[in-house]
Amino acid sequence: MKQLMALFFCCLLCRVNSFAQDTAVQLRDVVVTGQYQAQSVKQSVYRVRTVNSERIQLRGATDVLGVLSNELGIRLSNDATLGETDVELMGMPGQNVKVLLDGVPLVDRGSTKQSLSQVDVNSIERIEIVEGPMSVVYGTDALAGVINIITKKRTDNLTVTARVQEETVGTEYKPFNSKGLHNENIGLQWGHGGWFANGGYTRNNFGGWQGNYTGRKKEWHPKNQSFASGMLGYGNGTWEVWYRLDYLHENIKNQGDINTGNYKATDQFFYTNRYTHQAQAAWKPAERLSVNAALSYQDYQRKTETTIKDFRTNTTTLSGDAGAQDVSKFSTIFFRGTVQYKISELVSLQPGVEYKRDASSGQRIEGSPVISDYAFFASAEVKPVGWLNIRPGLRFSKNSVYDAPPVIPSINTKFALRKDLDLRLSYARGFRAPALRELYFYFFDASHSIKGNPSLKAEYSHSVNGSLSWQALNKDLLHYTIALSSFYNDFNNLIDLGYDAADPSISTYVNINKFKTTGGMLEHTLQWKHLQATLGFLYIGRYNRFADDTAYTKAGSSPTFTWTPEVNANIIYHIKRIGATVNVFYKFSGVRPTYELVSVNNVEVVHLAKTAAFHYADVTASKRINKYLTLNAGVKNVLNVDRLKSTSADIGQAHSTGGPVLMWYGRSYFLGLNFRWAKN
Amino acid sequence: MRQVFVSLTLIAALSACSNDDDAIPVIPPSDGSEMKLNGGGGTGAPNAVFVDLSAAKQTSLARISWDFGFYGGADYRVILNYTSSLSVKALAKTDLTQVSLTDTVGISLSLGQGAGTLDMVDDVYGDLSKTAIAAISATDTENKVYLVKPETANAADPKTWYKVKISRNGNGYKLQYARLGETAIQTADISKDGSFNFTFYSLTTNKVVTVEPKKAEWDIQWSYGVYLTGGGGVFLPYLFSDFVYSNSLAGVQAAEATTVDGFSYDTFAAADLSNTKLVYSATRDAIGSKWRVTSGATVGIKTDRFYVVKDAGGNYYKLKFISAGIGQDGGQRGYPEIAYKLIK
Repeated sequence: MKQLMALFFCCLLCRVNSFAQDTAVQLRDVVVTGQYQAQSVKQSVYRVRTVNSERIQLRGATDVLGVLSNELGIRLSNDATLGETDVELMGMPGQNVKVLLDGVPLVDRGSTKQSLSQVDVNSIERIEIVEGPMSVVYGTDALAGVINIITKKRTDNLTVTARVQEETVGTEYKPFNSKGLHNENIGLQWGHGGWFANGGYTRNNFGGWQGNYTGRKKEWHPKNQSFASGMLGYGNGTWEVWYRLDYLHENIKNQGDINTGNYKATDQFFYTNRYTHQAQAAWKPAERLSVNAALSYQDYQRKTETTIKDFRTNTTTLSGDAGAQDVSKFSTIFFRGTVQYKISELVSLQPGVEYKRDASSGQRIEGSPVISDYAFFASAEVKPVGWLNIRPGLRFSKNSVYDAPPVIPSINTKFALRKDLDLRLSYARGFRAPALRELYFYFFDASHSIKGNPSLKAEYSHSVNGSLSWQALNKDLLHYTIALSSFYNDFNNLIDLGYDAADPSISTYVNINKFKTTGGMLEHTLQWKHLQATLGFLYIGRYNRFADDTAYTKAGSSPTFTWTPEVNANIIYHIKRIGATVNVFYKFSGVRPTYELVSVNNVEVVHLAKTAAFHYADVTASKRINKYLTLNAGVKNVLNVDRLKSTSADIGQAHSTGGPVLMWYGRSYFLGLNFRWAKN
Repeated sequence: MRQVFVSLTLIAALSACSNDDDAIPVIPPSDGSEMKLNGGGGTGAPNAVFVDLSAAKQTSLARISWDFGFYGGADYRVILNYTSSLSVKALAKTDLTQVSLTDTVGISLSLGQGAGTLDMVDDVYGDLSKTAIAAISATDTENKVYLVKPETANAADPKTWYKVKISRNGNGYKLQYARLGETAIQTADISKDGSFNFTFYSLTTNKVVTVEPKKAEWDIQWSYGVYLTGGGGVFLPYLFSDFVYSNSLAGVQAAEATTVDGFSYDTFAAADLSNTKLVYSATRDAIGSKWRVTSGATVGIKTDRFYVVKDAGGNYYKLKFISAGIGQDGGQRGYPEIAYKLIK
């Protein structure tokens, strides 16, 4: 901490520049997700939310999840054993959320979206979030919505950026290594004529959090990440081509405490290596015609290593237990090509093709399966009158293994009721292909008999979305927008574990469950001089699967939906005179009720479990120190939340309090320096 | 430019690294004996291990190397292999030749994971008067034919099951059996041996096999084996990993000593033996699976308890489990480590 303070003062001594730098957020954010061409948020037929790099920097975020967690409808869930975090969007788990990097789907090994936490936050230009299904354009998994991460592309001149951020993990901290959170980045961006290139390296070092454990054991596992990326592109007025490689190395360490019986400890290590190659091209031979193509190859490997450290002899040996040593491999080839053709002022067309090939192997995967997926999709944009935009779409799929839904339709509409009033209505089908794990899982031992099911069908959904945006005030220095939206999603054929009909002693995956979500959201956005503020409310209902199940309704009915409210508020205030900002990010998540099945005296009954409400807030500030340096500091999780009480029952003990849900690690402090130099 | 340089230098200065190494704890010298049981590894470990604390000896053998145990004492009782998922059901018929595949209609011999009932296995507490196979009667027409599914047979394929009839044969037993898919009936005469609890027989090798050491030469047995699960008066058979059976037939007893009751393994001495909080159990499951947790938030050996074992010779031992490869205890599943010491 001393070093950091010294640095802080040293920086203050530097000449303070007071360049008037306009950092006001662009009123007309440009988005690309699901668009024929880059489009303003207002013109888009989809309702798109964006989080830009300025917001990321102001929040002092070190990973994507840290940026998204404050958004309405996004909730994180942590797997303490594996040290991984999944994201939930609008009440649906991560397996129903499509994660894209520049429009290319990122590979994940199972149902959890690890990929979101394996993207370098420093390389992000903005994040676009679309709620509701986009399966016509993006295929599988895009049921709950799409999170599209757009990377930084080019600058006109050579630009060098660097970042150092030191953060405590709760009260745990050691300078620059081990305890605490340490993020360092160096990046280069360059452009000259038609050429452009960028590259970067980031170290993201998380020391873990001891929590209630003692000795070597930690509740949050230490995680070290190294990211490297490079991009090269060339373009002129009519065409552009670029190639990008992202590399990640991740090391998660789960240390066991020393067993004082034998002075040994079991340690688990999870090593991930991820290579994401992508090449993209855009060609616009004529005003009314454009062609886009994206090709990607991804290689994702995760190695599990379990060691036994003997403190008597100070030796370490590999554990011989089943599943203790494993390498899971996943690779994906992906291609998407689209053509945008404007037939007339009234009608534009976008036909496209998609090809995807997934391959996998590992101890709990039977064989080395390969799945190929072919799709053709087309949509049209019809504008019969100036204020109306109708976009119908269809997707045709064929899969080499599972029973793909042959046709997926969607229709999106936008009515510009007035210049300042937009109404959007949409209906869409979404689908999720069975994951490799569900098709080819294989796990047999003394207490498990689980097998994948290659005859699974895809999950599918019907969705209806509606929203109304009103730009209530739109003056030079005062902008105020209100948006009201609601959604209803009906999911069918959901895959869950069940018994194999042919051999009831074996568990397998079956298309058995139903799920529904519904809700409404009200958002206010205000910009007044140097103040940006947002205030949002969300009320989200998640389906209670016991409501319609006659096996459980006899003893008493339970409601169809369980409801959770959310409120968020963000305030960003620029003090231009001294080049500073002061920011508050706040979110409230209400009590989350869930009906679950518990066994009381061997009789299964429906039980209402509740996870406690929580308030989360960050207070941050940034200050320009000189032409090149900006200081960033703040307090995250001001209200000091770590775990949430939950009344989820343990099996067999109806009234026991299940374990609290680990959410964070308490109040943390950060101090960061951002450097930016650009050649004149 | 100087600003650039200073700024960059500062950024670079902050990127130095160091590594914190594991501190090596102070390790006291061990007191008493330790033993690593050769279970053969895994949650469904292939071996059963008999331990004789007074001789500091373990005997490890394949847990499915036998199917029936014929009691060597006064009664005529036959036990099933409790260290496997072997299950039986009695038929009304008493003539082995009259039993065929048609007699399996409607009968399930699946056991564990919610399947099966407790009458398909012997009394899980080791009470010889409650074996699944009724006492062998001197009147042979009272001895029923049983359908038998060893662990290696297929629950969905009755052709892999056996039909078995056991009769008395003078002072011993007569065993007749055949696979349901086959016609030739095997016969074996088995005599009692009073120095062993049981004489064991394998349907696979068609032979009497050596399993248990002499009854005075073992105290506890560690194995994957059958026990029960449930509550509220409803119990189902369930197969447990790492189950510890005590040699109850030879008079071995065990008591659980917990830190809550003020006991400590390290300081436990002869004076503590008379502590009324020590409740000795004479049943086979006195130790059972009580010493470890395998599911839920906290898994591993329960370090707040140990056991006091009274052997057939009247010696008392304190016994604790050190590692079992459950949680992160530094051990390996299927090779549990125990520590024990004679209390003098």
